[in-house]
Amino acid sequence: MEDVVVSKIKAVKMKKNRRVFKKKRDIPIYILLLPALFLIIIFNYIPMYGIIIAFKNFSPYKGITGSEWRGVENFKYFLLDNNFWRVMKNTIIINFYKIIFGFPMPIIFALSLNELTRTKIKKLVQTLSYLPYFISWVVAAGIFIQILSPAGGIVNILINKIFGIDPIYFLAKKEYFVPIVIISGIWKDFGMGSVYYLATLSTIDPTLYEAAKIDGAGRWKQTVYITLPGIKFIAIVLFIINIGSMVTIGFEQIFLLYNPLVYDVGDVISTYTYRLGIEQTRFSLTTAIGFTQSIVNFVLVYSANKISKKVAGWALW
Amino acid sequence: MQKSKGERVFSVFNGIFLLFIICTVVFPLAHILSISLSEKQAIINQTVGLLPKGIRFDAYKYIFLKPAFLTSLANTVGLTAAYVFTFWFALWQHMRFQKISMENGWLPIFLLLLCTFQGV
Repeated sequence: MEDVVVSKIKAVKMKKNRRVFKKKRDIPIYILLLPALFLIIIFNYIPMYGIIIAFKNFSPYKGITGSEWRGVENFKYFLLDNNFWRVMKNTIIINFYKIIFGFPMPIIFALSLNELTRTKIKKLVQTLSYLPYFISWVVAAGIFIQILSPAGGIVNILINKIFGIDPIYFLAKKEYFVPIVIISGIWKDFGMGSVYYLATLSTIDPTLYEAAKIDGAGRWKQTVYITLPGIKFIAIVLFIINIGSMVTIGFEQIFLLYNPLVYDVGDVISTYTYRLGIEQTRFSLTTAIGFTQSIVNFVLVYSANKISKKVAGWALW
Repeated sequence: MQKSKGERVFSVFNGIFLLFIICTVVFPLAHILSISLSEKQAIINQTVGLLPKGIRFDAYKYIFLKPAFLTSLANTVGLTAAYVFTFWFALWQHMRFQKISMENGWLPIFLLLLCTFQGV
């Protein structure tokens, strides 16, 4: 009994010790921190100064400080613009489906790969699965455009042989564009996404499985009660990161796949700002859009984290 | 280890599922590879399938003899190497001081950091 009390007191003391600032111990550690801190300040915080052009009528000749102030005119302009709300809607719809279908895919793949007993085949399948991650979107979009093309694309040839319908120009049809974006996104990223889960699966203690086997648990029960709780941690991290980019979609993928025929469903915030900013050189307006986007993303990450803390009892911070 | 009937059925379906996924990944990539090696006329006529028609390394010769390509390749490789080294070193130091090992669930975090910053 006394031992327990003593060790408890020791633990409390140690906890207190950690909080105290010790010159000899802590100053070198803070010095070690400095380069990283400078890097973040120089590349992440100082450029934030440029955000003020969102409140100005920026012209490259007058510079950031020289341009005249416009207040919230830029924000008013795009918030009252129907086009902006259209691209906002598209962005959220595409991201919503991406999370619904794209998020579980790496988990399913990792679990199913984990069931393979032969290590050599496992390694081979895993290596092949993350090959698409390493090719650029230019090539990946080229592949998708080619296999979906109405002139000699493999999908159209198959459809023609099985159902006997005329070739469909998939990328020019509004109803097919979103599924194509989702599927190509999954195709490219599922392998790399499953690497996190496979790495986590390999860290689960094998004795847990042995104990479960002795207790009479089958493969399914083992998966539900050991494997899934084991990957909960990394799944939450990845989910919060995904939620954090809810109003952001990678520019390249959409830009390379879309065309004016599918602007109604395929035009997203990043491509819209590209056309406004680079093609029409309206830098202030696009900065205002980017600023709003960042704020929305921040709020989403923050609430996702809060919800995860409540529901799963664990969160990023 | 004796497998029950349900488990055997499951592993068959599991194998088919994985085979399907691997086919969707491998065939398009094989097609691209064969296009990069084929003759120009065969590509225009769209007769190139999974195997190249008339192997030629002209395209590869062209890019590898371009100084701009070599510079960009060196930059990409250098940047990636710098990221890998930085993260690996930071994590290694951290684990050394905290007396933890890669096996305690730090490997996925490491990979996550690496892939997040790879695109920077």
